[in-house]
Amino acid sequence: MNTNMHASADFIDNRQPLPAITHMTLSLVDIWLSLPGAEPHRLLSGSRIFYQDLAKPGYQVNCQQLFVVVKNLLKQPAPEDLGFRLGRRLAPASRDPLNQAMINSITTGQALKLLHAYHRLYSPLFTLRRGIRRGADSPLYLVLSDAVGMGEAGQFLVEALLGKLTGTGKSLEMDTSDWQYFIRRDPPAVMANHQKYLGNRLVFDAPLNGLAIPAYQLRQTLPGASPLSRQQRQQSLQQSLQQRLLLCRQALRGADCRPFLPETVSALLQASLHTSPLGLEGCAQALAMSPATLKRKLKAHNCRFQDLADEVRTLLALDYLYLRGKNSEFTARRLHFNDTANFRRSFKRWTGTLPSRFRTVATNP
Amino acid sequence: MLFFHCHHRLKVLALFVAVQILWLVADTLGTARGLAGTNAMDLFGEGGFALFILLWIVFVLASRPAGRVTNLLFFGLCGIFLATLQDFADEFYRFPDNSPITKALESVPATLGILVFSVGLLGWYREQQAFNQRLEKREKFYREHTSLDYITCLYNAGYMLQALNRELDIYQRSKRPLGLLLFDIDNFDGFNRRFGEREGDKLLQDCSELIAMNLRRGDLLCRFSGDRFIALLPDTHQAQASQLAAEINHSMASVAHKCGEHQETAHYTLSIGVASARPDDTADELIRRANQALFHAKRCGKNNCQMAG
Repeated sequence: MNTNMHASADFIDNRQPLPAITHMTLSLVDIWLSLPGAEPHRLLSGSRIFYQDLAKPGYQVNCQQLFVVVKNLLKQPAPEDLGFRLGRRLAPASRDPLNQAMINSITTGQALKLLHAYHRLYSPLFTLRRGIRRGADSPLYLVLSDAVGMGEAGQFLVEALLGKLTGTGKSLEMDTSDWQYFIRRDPPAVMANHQKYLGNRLVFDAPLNGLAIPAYQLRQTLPGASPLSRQQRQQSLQQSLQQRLLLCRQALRGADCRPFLPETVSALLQASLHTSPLGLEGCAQALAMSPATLKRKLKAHNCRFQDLADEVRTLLALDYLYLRGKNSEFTARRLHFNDTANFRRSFKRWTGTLPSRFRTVATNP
Repeated sequence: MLFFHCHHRLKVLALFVAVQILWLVADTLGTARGLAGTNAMDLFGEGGFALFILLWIVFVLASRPAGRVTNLLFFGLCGIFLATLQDFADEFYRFPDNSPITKALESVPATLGILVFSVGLLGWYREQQAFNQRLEKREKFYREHTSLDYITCLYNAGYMLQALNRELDIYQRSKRPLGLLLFDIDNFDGFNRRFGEREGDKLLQDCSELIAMNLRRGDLLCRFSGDRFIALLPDTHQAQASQLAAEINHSMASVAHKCGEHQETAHYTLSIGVASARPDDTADELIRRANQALFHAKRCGKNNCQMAG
C-alpha cells in the first residue's frame, strides 16, 4: 500500500479527471450537438457522464470517459471529418499561457520549440517527440505517440491533434501546405478530409504518426510589424516571453500535468536504451511496484509492456536509420541486438517494412 | 374460428389435454377436502401464480413468431404452469403421501419446465443479439453508401471521385477538355468561432447555392470536405474555368450575408483553385493539383483564383 502511494506521486492514471480532457469532451459534445438530429445520450451512453452535469462549473471528465465518448461517436452516422474539426476548434486557445508564449517568440522555430517543451500543456494525450535535425536544412520532425493507451479512439484523436497542430501553425501564419504528414493507417478510399484539413503531402501506412516542418519555415520571423520595429520590440518581446514561460512552468508543475503511466514507462525505457535496457521487472522496481501490479495497471490503460518497449525501440531505430543515416548493423548494435538478421526481423514486425526502405529515403530525400 | 388457423393450435391443444389429464389424475388419486379444508390465502396465492403463468404463455404465443425459441419458451412455461396447477389442486384434494405419481407430479414438471424455459431465454437473448448486429450492419451499409451530404444536399467527395473517374475516362478517349474548381471559404474557422457551428452550416448552404447558381447546366458541384466545395466542369478549357471562377468570386463579394442572432451583415469571400486534366492524369493527381492551386490562392491573400501550374 505504502509503495503504491509513493509511486502514484509520479504519474496519474486514465481515471484522473483533467481540465484539458474536460475541455476536449465539451468541444466534442458541442460539435456533435450542432449536427442535425443529434441527441446527447447517443454520445454519452456508457461514459457515466450526464449531459446536465457538463454545464456545471467545476465538473471534470477523465480520459477513459473521453475514449468512451469517442467510441460512441465513431458508431454514429456522423460526418467523417469530426476529428479534424475538433482539432481546429481546440487550436487557438488564446488565453492559455503556452499560446501566448508562442505568439511572443521571435521565430517560428522558437515557437515550435516551446510547443515541444510544453507539449503536455498542449495535448496531454500524446507525447510529442522532436527528431534530431542533422543540419540547418533538414526539416523538423515531430512524432506523436500515445501517452495514455487510447485504444480504438486513437485514430480519431490523432486526427484531432494533427488538425490542432495545423490550426496552430495557421494561427502563427505558417504555410502549412508545405508540411508533410505521416499517418499510421491505410490510405482512406476518399482522402478529401485529409486533403482539406492537412494538405497534399500525406504519407499513409507510415511506421508512426507525425509531421515534418520544412527548415525554411523554422527560420521565418513571426508576423507582426516591420522588421525594424520588430527589432525595437525584441527586448520587450523577450521579457514578455519570459513571463509567459514562467506561467507555463507553473502550469506544468501543477497536479494536473503529471505524466500518465504508459508515458512514464516509455520514458524509463527510452532512458535505459542507451545503457542497459530495462525489462518489466526493472521498470516495476523503478516505479516501486510489483511486476504483476505494473502489468495489471498497464492493462487498465489498454496497453502491454511489450508494445511500449517495441514502440520505444522503433522510434530509436527510425532515428538512427532515417534521421542520422546510419546502417542496419550500427542500429542493431545500438538497440542491443546480437545480429543484424534478428534486428531486421524485429523491425519488420514493428513497422511492416524492412529497415532498408527508410535508409534509402534518408540518403535521397 | 381464428384459433384453429393459428400456428400454435397443436401446442395449445396439448396443453389443454395435459391440464385435463392432471385434473383427472388428481380426481382419481386424491380425496376431496371440501370447502372447510381449504386455506383462502393459499388458494389466492397459488391460483394467482398459475393464472399469471398462463398469461405469460398467451403473451409468448401472441407476440413471438413461431419457431424453436418460441417452442422452448412455451414448453418451459407449460411445465411451470402444470406444476403450479398441481399445487393448486392440492388445495382441493388430499393425496396419499407415498404415491410415486404425486411425488413425480410435484417435482418433475417444475424442474424440467424451468430448465427448458432457461434454454429458451438464452435462445431469445441470442436472437436479439443477432438482430442488433444485423441492424448495426445495415446502418453501417447505409452510412458508407450514402453519397449525399445532408447539410448542403450536394453529393459528397466519394461521389465526386466516382464521377471524376468516369469523366477522366471519357477525357482519355475523346480528348475533350475537363476542368476542376476547388472552392474554400476564407476564414471559415473564424466565422464558426464567432457565430457557432449552426450559423456555419447556414453559410455553407448559402455558399453552395450561390456557387451552383453560377455554374452551367452540365457541371457537377459537390461538397468536398468541411468548407471546401469541388466543381467538375466537362468540356471546359482552363481559361473558361478561370472565367467561371472569377464570376463566382465576383458574385460572392456582392452578397451581404446576414448572420447571428442580430442578423449582422458579413461579407465572405472564396479562394478558388483551378486545374484542368492532362493526359494520363488520375483523379487523385488532378485533385492534388487543384488543391495545390488553392493553397497558392490562399497564399496570395485569399479572395482570388489561381490556376494549377
